Amino acid sequence: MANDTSLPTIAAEVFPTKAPETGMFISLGPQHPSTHGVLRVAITTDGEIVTSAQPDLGYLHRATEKLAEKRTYPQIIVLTDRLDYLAAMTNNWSYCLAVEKLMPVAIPERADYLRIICGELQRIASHCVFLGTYGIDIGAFTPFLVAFGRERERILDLFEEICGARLTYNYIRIGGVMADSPTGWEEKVRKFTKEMEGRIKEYDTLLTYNPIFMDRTKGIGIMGKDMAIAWGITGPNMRATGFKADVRKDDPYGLYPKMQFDIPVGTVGDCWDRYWVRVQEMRESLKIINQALDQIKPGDTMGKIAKTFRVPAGEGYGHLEAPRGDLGFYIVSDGTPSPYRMHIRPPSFINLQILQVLLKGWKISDVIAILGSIDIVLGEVDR
Amino acid sequence: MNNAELLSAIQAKFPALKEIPKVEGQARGAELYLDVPDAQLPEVCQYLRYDPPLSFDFLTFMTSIDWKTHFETVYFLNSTLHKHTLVIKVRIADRVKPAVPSIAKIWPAADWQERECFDMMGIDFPGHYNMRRILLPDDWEGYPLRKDFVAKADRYD
Repeated sequence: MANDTSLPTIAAEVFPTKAPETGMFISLGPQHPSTHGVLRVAITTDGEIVTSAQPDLGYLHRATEKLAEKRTYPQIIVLTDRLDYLAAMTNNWSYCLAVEKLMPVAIPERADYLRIICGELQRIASHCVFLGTYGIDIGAFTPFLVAFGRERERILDLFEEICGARLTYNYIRIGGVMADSPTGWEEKVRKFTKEMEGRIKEYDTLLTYNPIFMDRTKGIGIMGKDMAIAWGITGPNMRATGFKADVRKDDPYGLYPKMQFDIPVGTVGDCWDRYWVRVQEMRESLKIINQALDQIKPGDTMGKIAKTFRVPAGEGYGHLEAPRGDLGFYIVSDGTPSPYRMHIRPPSFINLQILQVLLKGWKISDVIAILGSIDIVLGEVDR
Repeated sequence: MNNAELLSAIQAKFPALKEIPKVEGQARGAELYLDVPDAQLPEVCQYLRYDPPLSFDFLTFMTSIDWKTHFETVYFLNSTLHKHTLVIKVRIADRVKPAVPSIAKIWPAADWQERECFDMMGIDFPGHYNMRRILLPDDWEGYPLRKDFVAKADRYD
């Protein structure tokens, strides 16, 4: 069925502009509530069955890579906030990792712990958005109110307290973090993690094992392991196929080697598995946050680094496990205060490609379920 | 396999391929960097992908760099089986009509990334089934990530 990993070969067929002789042409988006941003998918159908689907991108393109060539290294952190705007913390972190590969800086231990706590909180917040909006896509409204409106708000409040911003943080800096946590912040995080464990159980009863939700997602949009590897899929989408791939374990960064956590994997790689892996990941993130809170000690939060600096010539690739997959920054430096070339490896962009073959053969009513389960953020797709 | 073993395994099949040595004083990752001529790229990639001891089945990402005198495409490869990594660099001397053979048939992951390189850097990928602009509008003029690109004022400026 939809498990063909080969590329479509006829260009006219893969980018339709009009209906085929015996079928229908549907232009989904760019203004459609279920595309989670401005994405257009050109779909042709035969009866109810999708015969071809081609995403049309670029509505949100802001030329981040070109802008980066004109800015100094610390100024670029602000740009990275705007990529995956639901997970700006991990964007900052990934960029800083890449710069720190080029220019080794000793990062104080406390800064590394704060990075882990913020990064994992961000993962929970991002998955809460996925859970809420995916529920809406399928037709369940309540999960949105609890996951998006209640738990995510709590996390954003915590972020606001530590760095003053709710969405675009600019908190993780080259060599450390912007500021130490305010008094009592760690206790608030601990209180939140305790509550969150109960909330995830609530999601299970509301959505995960809801028979209507399972009917709409079980056995739909199946992505096999080989197909996922060929198309470069990373993150929860890859793990849903049953393949254990996680940058935190495969290429550890920060203090992750010290942390005890599991990598939840799915079994068949359908929409429900992709959903379920994310819910389990929230549990694992809570474990990591609790361990980090136990181990964190007072200390410096910024390494010894000059206000203005030049990065030595060379190239560096830093990547980490962002909520949506393997997010990387490839930086080529020529020794000047700004990068010669910066390339972003955006997990959403690369994960979205598979839609061309994944949607084929499924019913038109499953399109939204499959598109939602890939969990893309258009800010990162279009950059 | 470590870098030395990888290099000897690849050179056993393609003796002409050379490692790109690390420049003294410059920062670079620990991966093996391989210089591949553009004409040989599909053949080399086919071997890297399907030879069992190598089996580089995962294209992490690909990108392009404008070095003012020439272009360069960069491929970061990974093996999900053996967990080793490799970086391939292809030098494109032709600045007027830069082209590199497409590898999207070997790694479908390169599909949109090659289109992005075409869109931003103007490098053509012969053999790609759908080589069009991807992020910019179809009627956009020029290739913005080239170093000699001059932004023209449009109706929004």
